[in-house]
Amino acid sequence: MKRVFFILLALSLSCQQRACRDTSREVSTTQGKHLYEVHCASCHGSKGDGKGPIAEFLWPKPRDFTSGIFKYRRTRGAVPADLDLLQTMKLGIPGTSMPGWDLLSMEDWRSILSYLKSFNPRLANEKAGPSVDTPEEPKKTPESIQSGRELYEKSGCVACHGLQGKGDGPGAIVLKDVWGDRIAPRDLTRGPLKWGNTTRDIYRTLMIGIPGTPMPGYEHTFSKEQMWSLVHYLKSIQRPLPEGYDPSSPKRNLLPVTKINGEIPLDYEDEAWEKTSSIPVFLKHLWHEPEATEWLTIKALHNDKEIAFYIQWEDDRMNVDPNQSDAAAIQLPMDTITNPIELPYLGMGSASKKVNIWEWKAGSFKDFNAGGVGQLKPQDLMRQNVTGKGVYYQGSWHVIFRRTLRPAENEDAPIPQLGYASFALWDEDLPKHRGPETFSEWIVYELGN
Amino acid sequence: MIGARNVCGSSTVVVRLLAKQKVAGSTPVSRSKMKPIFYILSAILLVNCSRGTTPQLSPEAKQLAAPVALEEGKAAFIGQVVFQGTPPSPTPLQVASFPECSMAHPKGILSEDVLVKDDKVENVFVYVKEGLSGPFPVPQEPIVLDQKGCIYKPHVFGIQVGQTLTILNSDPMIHNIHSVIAEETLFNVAMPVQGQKLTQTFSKPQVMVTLKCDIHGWMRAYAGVLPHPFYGVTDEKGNFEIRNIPPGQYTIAAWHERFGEQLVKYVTLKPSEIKFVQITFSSIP
Repeated sequence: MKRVFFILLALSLSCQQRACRDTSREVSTTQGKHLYEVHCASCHGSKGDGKGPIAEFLWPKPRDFTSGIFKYRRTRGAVPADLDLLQTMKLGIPGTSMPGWDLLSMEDWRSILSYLKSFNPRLANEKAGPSVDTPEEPKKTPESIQSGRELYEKSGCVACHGLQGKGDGPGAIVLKDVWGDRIAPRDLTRGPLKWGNTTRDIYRTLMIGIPGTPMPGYEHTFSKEQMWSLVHYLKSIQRPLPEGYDPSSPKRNLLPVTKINGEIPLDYEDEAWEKTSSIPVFLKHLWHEPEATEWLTIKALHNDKEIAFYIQWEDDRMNVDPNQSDAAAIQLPMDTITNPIELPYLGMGSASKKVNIWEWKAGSFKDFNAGGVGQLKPQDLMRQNVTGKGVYYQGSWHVIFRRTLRPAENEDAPIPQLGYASFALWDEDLPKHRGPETFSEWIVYELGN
Repeated sequence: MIGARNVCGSSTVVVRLLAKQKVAGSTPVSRSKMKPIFYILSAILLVNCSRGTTPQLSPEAKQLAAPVALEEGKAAFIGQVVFQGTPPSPTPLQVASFPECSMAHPKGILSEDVLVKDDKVENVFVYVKEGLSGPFPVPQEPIVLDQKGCIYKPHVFGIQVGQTLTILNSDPMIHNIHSVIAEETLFNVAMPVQGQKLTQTFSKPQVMVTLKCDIHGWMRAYAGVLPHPFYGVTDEKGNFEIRNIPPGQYTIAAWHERFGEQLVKYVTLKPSEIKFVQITFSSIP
């Protein structure tokens, strides 16, 4: 793992040292256009109008860059600052289909940004306003939480977010954004929140609201002390994030693949698995469903011959009927990736950058290849080589995928020492939409020695 | 009643003058500068001339005969907005899921988007669109918008760039006041406290800025933001008045939330003239 950490650390340090403002070197709109077309255009459209081929399967809808209007910012004024936009690209947006692209270098982000700006002259020509100040945070106390709770209950928050903060207030069902699309108030008990999950982020959102949405700003209503109390209360009702999980850390998606001797067990209760540490992965949704699973935990093992991924997620009810089964899938690039900019499109790759998909459904495992959305082809029965086991126990699915490290078939993805994988889940209890209910960003795995 | 020319050339109508209108877009002037005069009006009828409609002034308009006070050398538009045909009826708003709103209106609330009575259209924003050369001083007194019983008062209003808009919440529950131009949020502020007061200004002209409450989705108000104070909003009799305009040649526009915008071009105002303008909407675009 050390190598990956080093790469990511170097990336984040390079950003800090140059204060993320260096635009002089290697920022290329042509490179930005290329990356945009591979990774962004399916949703945001090749013209940047938010009408990409899969936009209709998404809710909330992808942003239309041609209007120059954005929800997320830490700044006032009509247009967001570069850093606001970079932050969105880097971290993605929880509760939506927008994944984070932390793996790219600062130059690559800047290149994409430079191309985004070509969609709307306002973005290129207008300047963002000043940043929203967040004063020093007082200590969180039972009193500050209680006073925050009182403010929450009497200041209109309940109208949309509901008494318990679950996003089910009386006004929740009628809300629309300025684009005329239905919009759901966030379930505040689930983190991380869309516009940042630190106390300062939440303070800022409460101050200025979220442009383009019904969420208003409270800076004309609350004093600084009241604002902080409300922040403390909101933090207190949020279910804690998995230990050590930092939604803004570039290290959030690093998966060590521990080496063991002997066969990799398919029993998740086996000592080999018990001894292995897991990483939490925060999932994205194509179509927002308040009940959808938002977390997956992953463990991985190898023994120089085989690799196995053990994924676990909560699901209230088991569905294994062949026609209506819960399911999970792992996606791996068909090419060995030496730089993250070579990664295929997260939504099943493309004609030029194909992917290998391992699926578990209705108790059985299948090996597919794909070269774009909907371009899914099962491998020949004789060449199926993914095995594993899925067990439902006490409200959770435990599924282990196992495959040989060096397959003979050229339809199978290589497993390099440093590689990339993404994960997707289907839950039969949720309303039907196209595609998986939830999916992960690209996860970086590294085989241990 | 004296003769006045109709732009369609079909007949001659004469009026003496009108009186109090709902909103007068005028710069405040001291009493001493005003002088009451009776004017002869030329009536411009903006009906669909091609249909050869004979211009008719409503009896109300004819009967209104009171002096209009003007600053010396300035002129005014007065007029009326009518609807030809059968306008859509106001519909009851679905407020049942908000008891605090429905309690304020035991008889229910009707939509305010189309208010037409005896063919006269209320809440039309009439303003000088072209021909003025500013700048014009920003009025000191604020425009007041109230949120009361889960509706905005007024529903349509004009305001000058830089002029203070005072927003009140007279209701005992939250409203968010969300101001948008097309898809862009200008401001969106929570007003959870009864009696809360907020001031805002607009920094550029826009006809119209929409103000809405996202929680009570029927709540809408429209602000005509102009670089000058020459506008009026029609009252329940469809009448408007724009006072103290410098003499000149202008394009007047009339905006209605459902009927769209109509233009009256090349209207000349002479010093001390009060010109009558009739505007007719006949369909919903």
